Amino acid sequence: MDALAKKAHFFRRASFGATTAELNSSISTTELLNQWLDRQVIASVPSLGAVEKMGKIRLNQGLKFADWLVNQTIYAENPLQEKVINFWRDHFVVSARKVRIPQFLTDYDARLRTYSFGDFRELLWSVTTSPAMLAYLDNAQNRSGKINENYSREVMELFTIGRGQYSEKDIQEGARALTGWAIRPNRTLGTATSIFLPRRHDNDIKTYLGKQGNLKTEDIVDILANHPSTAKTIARKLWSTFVYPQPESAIVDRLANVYKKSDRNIKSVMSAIFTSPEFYSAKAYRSQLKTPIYFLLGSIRQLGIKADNIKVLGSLRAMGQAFYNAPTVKGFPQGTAWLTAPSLLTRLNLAQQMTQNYGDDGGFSYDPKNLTTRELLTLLLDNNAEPSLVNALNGLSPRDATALILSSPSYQLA
Amino acid sequence: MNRRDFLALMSVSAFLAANSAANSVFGANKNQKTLLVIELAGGNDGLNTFIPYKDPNYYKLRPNLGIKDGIPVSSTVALHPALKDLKPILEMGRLAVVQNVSYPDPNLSHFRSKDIWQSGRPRGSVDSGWIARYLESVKAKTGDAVFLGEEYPLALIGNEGDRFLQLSPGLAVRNKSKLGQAIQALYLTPQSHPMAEQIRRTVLESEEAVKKLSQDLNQRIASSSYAPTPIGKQFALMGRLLESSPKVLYMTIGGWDTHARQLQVQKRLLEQLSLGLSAIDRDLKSKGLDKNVLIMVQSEFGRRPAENGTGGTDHGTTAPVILIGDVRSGFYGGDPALDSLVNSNLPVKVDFRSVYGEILSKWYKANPTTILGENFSSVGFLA
Repeated sequence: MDALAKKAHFFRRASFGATTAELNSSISTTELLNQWLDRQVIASVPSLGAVEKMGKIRLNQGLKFADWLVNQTIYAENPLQEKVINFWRDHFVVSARKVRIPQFLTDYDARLRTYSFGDFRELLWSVTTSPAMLAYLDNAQNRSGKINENYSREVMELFTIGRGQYSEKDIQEGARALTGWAIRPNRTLGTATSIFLPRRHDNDIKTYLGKQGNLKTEDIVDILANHPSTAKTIARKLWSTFVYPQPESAIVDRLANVYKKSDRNIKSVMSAIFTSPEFYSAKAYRSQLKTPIYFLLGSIRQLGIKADNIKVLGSLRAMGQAFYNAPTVKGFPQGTAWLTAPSLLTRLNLAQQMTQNYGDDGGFSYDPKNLTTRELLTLLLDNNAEPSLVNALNGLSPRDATALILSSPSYQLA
Repeated sequence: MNRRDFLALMSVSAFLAANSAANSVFGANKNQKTLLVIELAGGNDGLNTFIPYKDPNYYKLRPNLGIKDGIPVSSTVALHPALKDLKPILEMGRLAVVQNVSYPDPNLSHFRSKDIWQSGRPRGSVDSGWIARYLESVKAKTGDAVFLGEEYPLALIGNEGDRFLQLSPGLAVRNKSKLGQAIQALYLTPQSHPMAEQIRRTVLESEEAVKKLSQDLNQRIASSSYAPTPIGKQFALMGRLLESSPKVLYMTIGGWDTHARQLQVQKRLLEQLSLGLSAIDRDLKSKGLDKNVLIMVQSEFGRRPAENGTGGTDHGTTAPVILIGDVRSGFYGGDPALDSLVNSNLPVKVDFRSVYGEILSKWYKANPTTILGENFSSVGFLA
């Protein structure tokens, strides 16, 4: 990788792609990385007002939040933090398809924001006891004598230690330990809290992953957060998202060790990832297929396009990735699973809509005077475009040239 | 395995192979009920489509845009001259028009209003489409609905995010423009990066499928009177796809947002639309499928009754819905109330969900309440 490719690669991974100003800035990527790791901004999620009945007002509250998420993703002061938060949204999945009260989701997003770079145990605790997760995976209904195993299963299978590390008995015992939670929304203030009701808790002895006692939610969180398999799960998943898929076991072990040594500190793991020699390897370069969120919001960010956010949200949905709308608890498709016709063909269409002058029917406004074709190739493709693309660009207007680059197979790669 | 996985696995060519019986006329399933939805994206001006030619208010509101040479088809309605091919369809009793259609408190944003029409939920959340919810209720397979176009519509996104088949004629159709040719050239060249190559092939596969479907299209265009224009070709392709008896076909025609130069722009679009509709109607009859396919043409909103200062009209509320097929011919929903505008816009007389509800109950024999969440009185265009 030459210096330009390295810098652009850094921005593609730590952010959603560089803007021209960022690419030309004299600040080194090392400095930037340290800034972004150290100076976290806890942006406050929008306040949506009182909890309303199903209907227009509630719908608009949901839209207000979605609108905020789009802007936050595009314009965040600390894009790395935003990307990590997005990672946690994909990891600890909750969906508006089931969690119908938007205030539960803003509360959830605030929790992810607070703990995104902190101790994984605190993050896991905050997620486990959040109204959104209690509703999404039914743990609010899990009580002594009326056990619901949904959360107990998924927290191990998907969020922490992973399949093959536990027995069905562990799921049952874990579910008993997780009993006692209820959601208490304050409908007037539009806030959501969860409370622990001792009378709903199963107070008998449980045996969970080799530990025995009158275990409670805090014990489950503790056991899982400190489990060596959790360290590996998080290491593997973060590496796959920020560097390349299916990391070698040596890398996973190295990161898992950082996780353990730093008392589960996510910032330390992120720092280790971005300073690994493999981060700038040929294997990492352009090794990922951009997700729909990445493609659309990244293009808007890199090219300074003005967008109508309702159009943006509709386009994300058309491609299959609306915020807080994962199809299942497993989250959105990963990696090459986005190689589907609806995802890719819609991108070709959007590439034109974002760059052409369609007026208010288009939903986007782009100034083609800012960048020459050469500058576009530098900004978007590290001055490293396939000859076929360079040939095809010949004789195109600035708007068409931009559309073609955004439509190109190589631009779909991060 | 959910449909999403299925779609990822199933290649478009496999879909075509599975539907190869459709290559012959006799492959079509004569019991199948197909709905063909044509969405006029941008907001079609209903008043200049079905003209209230006897209403003096119409000409007062539109001194420059009012159309005087419409084709009268009733005591109150004249067709836009470009719709002359629809007149015989109306006379044969196969055309119904529902006027003044919208929903309570209409939204004038393109995107929001599209979402509302396509979800069938003016107040609720818009995360699934009304057609997809119907298809899910009958456990439809991925190939049972086909979207022809580039921007996959909400109408065909299921509760679990499931998708149906998408074919994109765009690459082939657009190749007249410089950009279209450039995209074409780019996607015909193999990529050196393996994943970029995978992307290229996925996009091309959809185009290959369109090409295969289009093989005898030129001949069809000649024999079935489809227009040899890009929109005409899309209609011909629709005619071809109808032979495989899908439950739903969905197509979008853009360009209806006529803030300026409305007379020229809308005329050209309406011409293409009516040519396409009449060609497909003839095609269906010649194949004996005229009772198996219902065509519905809708738009996210109509336009302001009063013309604007730039030879066009701005966003409005109600729009007509056109239905072609085995319908009770005629005009429904009353005439546009140009004498009692609400905030300069037409008052809503028919909820679009009444139209959908009637299609669900009478055409598909489904329970509309489970799909739409509420019960709506029917309009009466289906027997």
